[in-house]
Amino acid sequence: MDEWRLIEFGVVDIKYMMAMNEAILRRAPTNTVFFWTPLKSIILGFFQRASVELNLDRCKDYTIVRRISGGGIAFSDDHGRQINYGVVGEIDGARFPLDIIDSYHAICNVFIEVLKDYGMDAGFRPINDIVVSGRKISGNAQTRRGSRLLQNGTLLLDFDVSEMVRVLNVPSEKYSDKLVNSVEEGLTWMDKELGYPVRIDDVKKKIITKFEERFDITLKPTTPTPNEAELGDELFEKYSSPKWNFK
Amino acid sequence: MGTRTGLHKSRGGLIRCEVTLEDDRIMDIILSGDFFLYPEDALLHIADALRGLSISSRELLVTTIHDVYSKHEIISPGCEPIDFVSAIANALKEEMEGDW
Repeated sequence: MDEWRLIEFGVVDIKYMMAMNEAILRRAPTNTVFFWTPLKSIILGFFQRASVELNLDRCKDYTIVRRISGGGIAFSDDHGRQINYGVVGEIDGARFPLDIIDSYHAICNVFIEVLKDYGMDAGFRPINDIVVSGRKISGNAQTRRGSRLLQNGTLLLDFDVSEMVRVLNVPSEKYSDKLVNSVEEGLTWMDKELGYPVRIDDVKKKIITKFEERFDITLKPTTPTPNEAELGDELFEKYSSPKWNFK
Repeated sequence: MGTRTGLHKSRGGLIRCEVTLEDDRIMDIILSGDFFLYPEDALLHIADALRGLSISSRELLVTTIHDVYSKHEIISPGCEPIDFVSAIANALKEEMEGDW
């Protein structure tokens, strides 16, 4: 049975984490699954512009960073009630299909099975979302370099919709309870579905087990290699620079 | 004219276009949004190819973007060259006539 790496970064500086995402994509010695917990941060998709998407006056106490994959904003409040993951894998046509949507689906299936275990009506909504009863509970973003993919995603355990809407660039005349409600209608999170606060460690354990079962592998806990850590340190500068984050 | 902004919701995400014209030619164009496009750097090639083009023919813009897609082997799930042109069209509604 193949062995992949499992790295738990814990609560992180999101700029460092974006640097490590790229470092692992470029230098991972083998397929790798990793987790981190963001606090008060906003991660922009590669093609997004901070000045367009955000009310910058309202997010002065947030860390804003842009990632190397496309897609939309990943917002995290100060509760730490979301699981952020990364997968770096060789696109081998089997475990990780060449077709982009198929490869999203292959990884998202892990999380869908976990949610189903909790009794939720979870499914994949192409291109890159996981939904429960039609409401988004997980957003995912993938990029590729050579024969490798990097997929990041967020699984929401709890979520402050009104705080997210507050920092978005919504003209003040359009900001209303109605807008918050309409955004809220399209989203859901585990605590809301279950009616109680689920233990984050329990969910992570289930995710790890499902990864092992679905991909027929074992996940071995470890830390980044010196090679990855060195590149991560170098890339930290890029992910800290206004030129990159506020292009 | 100044810079104008157009939005278009493609199946693969929202495309935002900020375009500046001189006469009927695209002087500058910035494309952004929450779509996916691989390889990511190729979006700049699309903008480069559009600069200097006349907006008199929608077909020319679509063909130009198609050519960039072929040259750089671009894949953008749920988002086609015509979607970028729709964002441009939405930015330039007043200028669009005839075959647009």
